[in-house]
Amino acid sequence: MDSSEAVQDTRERMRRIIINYLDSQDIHYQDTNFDKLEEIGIDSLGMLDVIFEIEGEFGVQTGEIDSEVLEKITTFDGLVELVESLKA
Amino acid sequence: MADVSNAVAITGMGVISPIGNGVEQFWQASVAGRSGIRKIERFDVSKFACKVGAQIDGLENSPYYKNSWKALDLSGAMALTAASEAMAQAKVDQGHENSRRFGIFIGTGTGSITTHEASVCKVVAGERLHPLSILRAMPNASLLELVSHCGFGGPSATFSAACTSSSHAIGEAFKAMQADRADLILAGGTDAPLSGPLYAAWSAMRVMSNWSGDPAGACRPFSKDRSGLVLGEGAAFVVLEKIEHARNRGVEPLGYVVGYSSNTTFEHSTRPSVEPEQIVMQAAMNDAGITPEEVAYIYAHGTGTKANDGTETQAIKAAFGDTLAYKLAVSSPKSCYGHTLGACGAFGCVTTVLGLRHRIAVPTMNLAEPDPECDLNYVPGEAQSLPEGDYALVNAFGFGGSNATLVISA
Repeated sequence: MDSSEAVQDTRERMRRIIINYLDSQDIHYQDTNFDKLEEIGIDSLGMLDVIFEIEGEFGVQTGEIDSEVLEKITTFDGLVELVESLKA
Repeated sequence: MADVSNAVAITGMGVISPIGNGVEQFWQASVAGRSGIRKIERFDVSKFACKVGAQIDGLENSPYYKNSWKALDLSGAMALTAASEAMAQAKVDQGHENSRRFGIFIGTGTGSITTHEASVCKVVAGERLHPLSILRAMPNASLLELVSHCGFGGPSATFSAACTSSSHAIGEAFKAMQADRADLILAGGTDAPLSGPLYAAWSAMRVMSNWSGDPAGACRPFSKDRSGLVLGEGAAFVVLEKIEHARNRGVEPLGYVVGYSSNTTFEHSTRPSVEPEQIVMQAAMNDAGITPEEVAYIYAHGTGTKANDGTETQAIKAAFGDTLAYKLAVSSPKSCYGHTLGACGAFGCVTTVLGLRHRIAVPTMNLAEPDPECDLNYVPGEAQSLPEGDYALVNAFGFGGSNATLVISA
């Protein structure tokens, strides 16, 4: 799997995690690109849950998340970037 | 006719209980003396002398009990379900414009201990803990969820004083409204003590029934052959509201909290004592501005332990005098649904409101041969009409020496 395929794979797996989370919370969503996570109902506590699932899915450890990182991961792309950096 | 000039109205009630979910089912089962006590199958009880408990059924599909990050344990799910029933009956909307004057007071003896136990098991097994484990396991976890669910921004608190917890929650809510700290408070209690480790701890304390016959007979308050309490799980909530506030909303009160008192038996942390129990009942009646002659019924603490039932009987005689004490109806429905610990005072509140409205004293079951020391009218075996009197007391006495009595009218 080359790097672009790996990123695409990460995006797909994370998309599943987010959809599972939204379903579990009965949050109805329409914007399937999930650009702004907070806007579709994933608040800071919800983000902790999503990150917990991501750690399990990808076998990574996020540790303490500083505010700079937290700002980035309010978007789906920012979250993908975080996971890719942790995988590396 | 009861004087309710200093009272707080009860405008909604909700119950999740081992004898039925919802106030109506609970009341019908209470009047009929139906038992919710059965052999425990949730965990292995083979090593314990007591093998029964009063479990909740029917919450599996509750919207508050699902397998998600906000998943509540049974204690929280029962609280939300019972509270929702009470709110619906009181016609209280979420996000009400006056919600900064609405509060929530919860009583719980064991809180979210089952969630804490599960976390400990994961740590021991080397598994990761969910990042929200603290929020789920802290003693006020149910309050956190209720506050979020109801959108109430007034005073809120969790009371944890063993078996008196929800009596304090209701009583202190009553006092908070008398002091004009709130217009409406959702108050009640929840407890889910039927987990393996907690059950083992209760068993080790040797206060549980060792009855080996039909589980329905295991809790035998005031009976000569009583051998201890039976643990039960459940939640009960009432919406307390200033009378004027209820009137302005066009909501008819179901009943009233008219008095409350609490004190402490400091001499011993678990052994009950007549004098403080007598004093707390008298102080609650004084707080209500009523005389013992005006009381028709006492929802007894009546746990079925040797220590409690005799002491409570003596305390009632001391508080009411020998003549009046024998005219009262005194009962312990714990014989049907066990001891719900921190929720039991709220169960008593709901039961007495309904009892006064219907003029019925619910029965104490399993009382074929009373203890000679327990010689009051405990309403044995079947419901009775209430004797004269517009008021009822709800007694609760807990470990740590905590005593509380509520005075209710309807």
